[in-house]
Amino acid sequence: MTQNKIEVSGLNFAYAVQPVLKELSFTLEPAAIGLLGPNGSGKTTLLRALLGHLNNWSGEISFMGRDVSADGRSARKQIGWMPERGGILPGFSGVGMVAYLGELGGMPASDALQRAHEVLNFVGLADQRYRQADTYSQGMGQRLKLAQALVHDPQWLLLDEPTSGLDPQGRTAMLKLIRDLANDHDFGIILSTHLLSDVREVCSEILVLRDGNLLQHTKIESTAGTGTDMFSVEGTGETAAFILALENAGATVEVIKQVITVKLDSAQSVILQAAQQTNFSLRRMEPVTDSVEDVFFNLVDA
Amino acid sequence: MPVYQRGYRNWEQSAKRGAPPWWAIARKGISSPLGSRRFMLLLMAALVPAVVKGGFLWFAWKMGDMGNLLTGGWTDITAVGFHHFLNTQILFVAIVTTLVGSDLIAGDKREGGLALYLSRPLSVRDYIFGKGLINLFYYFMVTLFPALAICIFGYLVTRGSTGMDMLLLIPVQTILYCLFAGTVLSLTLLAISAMGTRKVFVSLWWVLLLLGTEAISQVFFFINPWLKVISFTEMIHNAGHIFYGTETTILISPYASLAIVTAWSVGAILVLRKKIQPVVVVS
Amino acid sequence: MSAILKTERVSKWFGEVIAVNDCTLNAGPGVTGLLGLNGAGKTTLFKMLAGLINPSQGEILLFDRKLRRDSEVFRKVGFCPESDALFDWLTGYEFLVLMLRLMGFSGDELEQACLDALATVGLTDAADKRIGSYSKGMRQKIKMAQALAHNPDVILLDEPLNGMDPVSRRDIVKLIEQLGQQGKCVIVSSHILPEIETMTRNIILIHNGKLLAEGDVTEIREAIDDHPTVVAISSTDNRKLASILAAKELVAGVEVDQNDVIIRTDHAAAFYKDLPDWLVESGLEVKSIRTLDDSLQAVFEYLTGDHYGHQ
Repeated sequence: MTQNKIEVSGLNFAYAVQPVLKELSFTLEPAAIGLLGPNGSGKTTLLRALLGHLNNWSGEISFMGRDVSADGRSARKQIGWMPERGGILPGFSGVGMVAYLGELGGMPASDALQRAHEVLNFVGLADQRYRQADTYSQGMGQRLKLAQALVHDPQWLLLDEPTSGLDPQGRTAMLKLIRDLANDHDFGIILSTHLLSDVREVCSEILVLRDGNLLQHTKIESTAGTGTDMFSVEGTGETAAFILALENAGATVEVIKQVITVKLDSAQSVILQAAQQTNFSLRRMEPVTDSVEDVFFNLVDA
Repeated sequence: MPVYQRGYRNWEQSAKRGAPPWWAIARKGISSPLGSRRFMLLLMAALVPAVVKGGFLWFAWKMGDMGNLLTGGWTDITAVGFHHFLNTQILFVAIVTTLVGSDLIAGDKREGGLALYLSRPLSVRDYIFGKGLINLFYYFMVTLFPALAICIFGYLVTRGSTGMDMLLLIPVQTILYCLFAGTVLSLTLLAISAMGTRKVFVSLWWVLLLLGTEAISQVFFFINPWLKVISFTEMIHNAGHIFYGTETTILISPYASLAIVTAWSVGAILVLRKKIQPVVVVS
Repeated sequence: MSAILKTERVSKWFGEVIAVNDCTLNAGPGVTGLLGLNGAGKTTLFKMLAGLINPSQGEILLFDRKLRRDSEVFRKVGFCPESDALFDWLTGYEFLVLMLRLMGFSGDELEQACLDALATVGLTDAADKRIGSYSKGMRQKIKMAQALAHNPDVILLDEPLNGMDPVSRRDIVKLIEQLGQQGKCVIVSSHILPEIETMTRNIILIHNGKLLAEGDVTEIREAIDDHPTVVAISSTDNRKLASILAAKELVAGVEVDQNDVIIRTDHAAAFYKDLPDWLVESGLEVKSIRTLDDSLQAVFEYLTGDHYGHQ
C-alpha cells in the first residue's frame, strides 16, 4: 500500500523569527513510529504541520499522495489526531462528543453515532460513555481522545503524549490499544512522547528530532541478532566465581549493578558451562542489542 | 456461521453521504440550548410583544377607523411599524444571543477544542459559518419569525384587505432586513467570543456593545445629535430604512449607517480570521 | 539494613475517606520506589512522611525520633511534591533563597547552598529567569533543587520525572541513583515502572491505601505463589529442548511458540539452579534465556490483581 505514505521534503517553519523545523525531509510508510526529541525539538509542531495547521511554512508535505497545503481537508480525512492537552469539548457526553466529531469528519449522523459506540467500546469506555465528558478522570480522558481520533476510521494516527498522566495500569492499557492498532489493523501511527519505554513497547521505527533538525529515521531492531558478541547475564549465586570462570574461558566481563555483560564470540555455551561449574542460577542470558535508549542518546549527545 | 473480528473494526460507510461540516456544527449548536427549560421559557417570553402586536392589529381592525388611534409606533401595521417592532425586540435579542453565543468560540478556545475541530476535514470558514448560523437562528427566533407570523395573522384577520403589502412586500422587506442585521450581529458576537476565553467577559462586552453604546449615545445626543453614530444598534436600525424604504428620523443618512455597519462587519471578519487559528503562537 | 525512616501502623482519614490504611514500613539508605495506582494513597503517604500532615493514627519515626515533635529532625527531610504550585514571579535563585531562609540558613552558607543545588539539577543557566517562564521539566527540577538544597538525609520525591523530556529524565535518574549511593534515604514515586527499575530493585507497593509489598522485586516475585514463573528459552532446536524440559519434575508446563520454548515453573529458585545443567547436557545450542514476568511491570500487575494489557 505505497499510496499510504507520508512524504515530507524540505519542510521549514518558524514562529516569528525563531526557526522550529529546519529542512525536514523523510518518508513514512504505515508503521508504529516513535517521534522522539528533547524539549523544544519541534515534535508537536511537526504533528501540526502534518495536519495542515501551520501558516507560512515552506517545503512539501504529501499525505497519502495529497498535497497538504493545497488539499488539507482531504488529507485530514485520513488523520486521527490525539492532542496532548485539551481535546475535550465542553457540554458533551462521551458518546455525544465522539459522534459529533465523527460528523465533522464527514460521516452521516447515524454512522457517526454507531461508530462512536464501537470505538468507545474498543477503548474501554463503554460503561462511561453517557457521562459528561468534562467530568472524566485523566485516564478516561485519554481514552476518549483516542476514541475521537479513531471514529472516522483514518489511515494514520498522530498521538501526542498518549500516556501522559496515566498510572501504570492505564498506561499498559493505552499501550496495548496502540499496539493492537499498529499490529492488527495496518494503521500508520506517529507516537510523540518523552517516554522511551513507550516507544520500546509499541514502535518499530523511530524518528528523532533535535532543535528542529531530523537526526535519524530508523527501524528498531527487535530480533536478537545472532552475530553479536555481547551478552547480558543475570542470576544469583557465587557471582565472583562465575565471573572468574568466564574470564578463564577468555571472555571480557563487566558488571554494572546486577547485570553482568559478557563480551565473547558465541559466548552462550561458555556462559552455560561457567554457570554449571560454579552452580550459578541463571535467570537471564540475552544478546545485547541497541535499545531505543542507546540509539536516542547516542544521537542526542553527539 | 461467521466469526467477526473482535476489537477494532474498520468503518463500513453506509450508502448515505455525510452532511457538510458547517451543518453539523450549526445543528448541534442550535439544538443544545433547547434542552434547557428556562431557555424555552425565555423564548416564549420573547414572543409576548408579537402576540400583543397581533392583538392590537385585530382590535384596530374591529374598531374600524377608530382603531387608528390605538396604533402607532411599534404596533403599527405598516412597514414603519414592523421596522420599529424589530428594534424593540433588541432586549430579547441581547439576552438570547448572550446566552447562546457568548461561549460559542470562547469555550472552544478555553478547552483546546478549536484545534480539535480544525483537525477534522473542515476549513476555518466552515467553522465560522456553522457557528454564525447558530447566532443567526436565535436572532431570527426573536425577530424574523414572530414578525412573519404577525404578517400572516394580519392578512388572515383582515381577510386580505391589507393587500399584498402584508403578504408579500413587508415579509420580503423584513426577511432582507433581518438577514442583514442578523449577519452583522452574528459576526460581531462571534468576533467578541473569539477574542476572549471567559464567558463572563464576552457576555459583558456584548451587552455593552448592544445596549451600552445606545445608552451612551442617548446621553450624548443632547450635546451633539451626530453622536448617535456610536450606537451600534441605532446604526443597524437606521440602515434598515433602506430596506423598508422609510424616512430616517436622525441626522445621519441610512447609507452612511450602512457603510458604518459594513465596516463593523469587516472588522469582525478580520478579528475572526486572526483569532481562529489552529496553532496559538506562544512567545 | 538500618532503617532511617519508619512508620508504625500509620493511617490517615479525610472524613469518611481512608487514604492510607495501617501502613508499617521501613526505609533504609538507598533508593526505594513507592508505587501504586492513581488514588492508592501515595501522595498522602508522602505528605505524612514529609511531616506536612499528621497521621490520624500511628507514628512516623526518623532516626528513631518522632517527626512532628522535633524541628531538628524535620530539617533532615527534603520533599519534592507532585503539585505544580510554585511562586511564578520569583526567579529560580530567589525561590531557593526563600526556601532556605525558612530552613534557617543565612549568609554565605545560604548562597553557596543555593548555587550548589542549582548546579546539581542543572539549572545554573536559568537561575535568574522567572519560574513562570520555566518549562514543565525545569519546574520539576527547581522543585528537586528545593528538596535537596539543605542537604537532607531523607529525600522524598513524588513523581519527579513527570513532564520531563528524555534527556532531563536521564539526568535526574542519574542524580537519584547518586543520592542513593551517598547513603541518603531516597523515596521516589513514578508511574513509569521501567524507569523505577533502572533506579532501584527495592520497592514499596501500596494499593487502596494498604501496604501490599515491600522489598526487592525479585524476592517479591518469588513470594507470589499463585503465578508460576514464566521463562522463555530459545535454541537451535526448540522442539527437542521442549521435550527434554517437559520431562523434568520442576517444570509445570511447556509450550513452543515461534522463537522460544515457554516454560512455567512453580519453583523458580530450584529451576534456575538446575537449568544450566540441563541445557549443557542437552547438547543444544542455546541462544537466549529470558524470564518473562519478573519485571516490575509484571510484579505490579500480579499484586494489584489486574491482568490488563497482558498478552
